Amino acid sequence: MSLSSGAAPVAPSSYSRLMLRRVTALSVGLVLLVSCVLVDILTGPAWLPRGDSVAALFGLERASSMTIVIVWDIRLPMTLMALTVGAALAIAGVIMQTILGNPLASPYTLGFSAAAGFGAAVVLLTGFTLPILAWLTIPAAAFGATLISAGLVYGLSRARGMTPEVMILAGIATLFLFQSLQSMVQYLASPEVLQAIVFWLFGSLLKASWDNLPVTFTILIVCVAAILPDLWRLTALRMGDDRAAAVGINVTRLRVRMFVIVALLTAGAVAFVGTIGFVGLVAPHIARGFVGEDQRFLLPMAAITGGIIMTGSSILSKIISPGGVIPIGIVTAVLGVPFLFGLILMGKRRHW
Amino acid sequence: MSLSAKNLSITHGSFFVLRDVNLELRDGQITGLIGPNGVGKSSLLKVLAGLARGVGTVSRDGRDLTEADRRDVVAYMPQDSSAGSSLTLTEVVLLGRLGTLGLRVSPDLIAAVEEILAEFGLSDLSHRTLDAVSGGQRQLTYLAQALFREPRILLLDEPTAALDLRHQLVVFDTLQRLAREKNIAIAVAVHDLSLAAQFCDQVMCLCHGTLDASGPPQEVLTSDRLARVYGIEAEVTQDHNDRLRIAALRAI
Repeated sequence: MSLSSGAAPVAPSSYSRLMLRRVTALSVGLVLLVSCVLVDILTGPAWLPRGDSVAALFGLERASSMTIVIVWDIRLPMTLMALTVGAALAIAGVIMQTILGNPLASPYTLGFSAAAGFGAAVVLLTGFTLPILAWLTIPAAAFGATLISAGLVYGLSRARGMTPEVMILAGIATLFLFQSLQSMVQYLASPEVLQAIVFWLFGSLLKASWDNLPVTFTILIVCVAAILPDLWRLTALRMGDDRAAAVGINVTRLRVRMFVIVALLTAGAVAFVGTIGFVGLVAPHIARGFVGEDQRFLLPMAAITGGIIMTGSSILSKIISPGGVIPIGIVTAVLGVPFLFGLILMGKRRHW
Repeated sequence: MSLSAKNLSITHGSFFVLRDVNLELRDGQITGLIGPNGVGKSSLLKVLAGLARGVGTVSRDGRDLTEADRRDVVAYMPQDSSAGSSLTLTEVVLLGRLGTLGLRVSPDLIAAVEEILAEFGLSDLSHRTLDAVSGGQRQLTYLAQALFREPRILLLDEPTAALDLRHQLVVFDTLQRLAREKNIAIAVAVHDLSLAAQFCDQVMCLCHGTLDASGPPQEVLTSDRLARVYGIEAEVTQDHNDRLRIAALRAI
C-alpha cells in the first residue's frame, strides 16, 4: 500500500511525480505478470525438464516433439486463458464497482455467474448439442444465459431509473432466481450429470484450447476498446451521480453502456472456464491501492493484477497436487481471501 | 446579459414543487436563493442547470436554452452529501474540464489546477484523497472544480454549509470578485441570511411553491417576511453603513 495515492501530502506541482509512481507500479506489475506467465508455462503435471520446456516455448530445434505438443497445445492455451479471463474479470470488476458505487460489487454481483451456471447445467442435463460446433454448446448456453440475466436486470432496473440501489436489488433477485433454477436442474440430474455440472461450476482452465481462446480474447479486446473513450467519465462517476452529472456526464447512459460491456466481458470469461470467483472482486481493490482512482491507470493495473492472480493460482493448483490439476476456481478463493484480509487490515484509506 | 426563467414550474409526480416562477440572474451579480428546507431551492438550481426537467422557458439574452444548452454554459455545484472517495483533490478539480481530458493530461492544465487549489489554500493537500480531508476542504475542492469550468453562469447549492466562519467569508469574497471581474452570473442557495445580506446583490425568497419576493436584500429581508416564510421572530436592523444585521431570536 506504500504506493497508494492516499499517502502523505507531497509538495505542489508534483503531479508528474505521482504519475511516475503510478507508471512504476504498472511496470513492476507487468514484470511480475510476465514472470508468472513463464513459470506457469514451465510447470505442469508432466514434469518436463525446464530446459526442454523453454526450448519448446521459443521454438528451438532441440526440443522433443512431445514437449512441443505439451507446451504449445496444452500449457500455452491454459496460461493465456488464465491471463485473458483474469484481465476480463478484473476489468469487469472495476467497472461494476464504479457504476454501482459499491466496494462489494464484482462481475457476479448481478447474477451473471448463477445464470451462466444454469445455462451450462441445462445443456449438460438435456444432452443437447449444437449441430456443427458441438464443442461450443456449453459455452454458448452459458454465454446466452448470462446475457438473458443481464437483460432481466436491465429491464427491472430501467423501470425504476437505473440507480445503483435498484440495479443491485434487481441483480440479487436475478441471482437467486437463477440459483434456484440451477438447483432444480441439479436435483433432476443423474449422479454422472450432477458431477459434470459441479465440475463445470468449479471453474477450470482445462477447458482452454486454441479453439476457444480467440473467442474470449476477442471479446476482451472489443470490450476494452469500447471502454477506452469513457475512462475519464468513469473516473468522474466516483464523485457520485450528482457531481458526475454536474461536470456534463449523462450518468444513466454511461451506466447502461458499461453494464452491457460488463455483461459481455463476464459472459465471455465464464463461458469457457466456468465461474471463477474472487478475481473480479479482489483485483480491483489491490489495483486501486497501488494506482488510485484514475481509470487510465486503474484499468490496466486491475487487468495486470487479475492476470497475476489467475496465473499465480494456476501455478499453485499444479504445485499442490503433483500429477493432477486442482480446478483453478477453488484455488483463486484460497489465494484471494488472505489477500483481501490483508488489504482490509493494512488499508490506510478510510473509504474505498 | 442575464439568465432568465419564465413561468417555470417544477413537479415531483403530481405534486408542484414550484409553480410559475419568473426570475432573472444578472451577469456580474450574486443572487441569493433563500427559503425554508424543502421549499425547492435545490430543485430550482438543478432545473436551471439543465440537470432536471421543468416546464417553462429558460433563456439567455432572449434566446431559449434547452437543457443540453444549459449544461454547456452553466456550472452547478450540488449540495455536499458525498463521503468522498479515493480521488485526489487534483483529480477532482481536473474533472471540471472533463470534455478536454485525453489519455495524456498537459502540464499546463495541471498548473492551472494547482493555481486554483492554491487560491483556496488547498495546495498542501492537492495529492490527498477526498476521504482524507475534512468536509469543509471537500466542499472547497468541489467549488474549485466548478470554477475550473470557467462558466458564464455559476449555480451553487449551499457552498458554505460545511465551512468555518473564515472560509465562509473567503468563499463569498471569491464569488464576489469573480462576479465583478469575470462578469459571471452567480446564484447561491444559502441558509445564512447574514451572508445573503452581506454579499448578495439580489435575494430571491421561495415560499410555499412560489417566488415570494425578489429584490435587493434590504427589501426582501424584512422581519415580517422572515416571520411569515421561516416562522421565526427576527430583528432586522441597518447600521450606519447601510449594512443589514439580522438576529434570529426565536421560533414562533
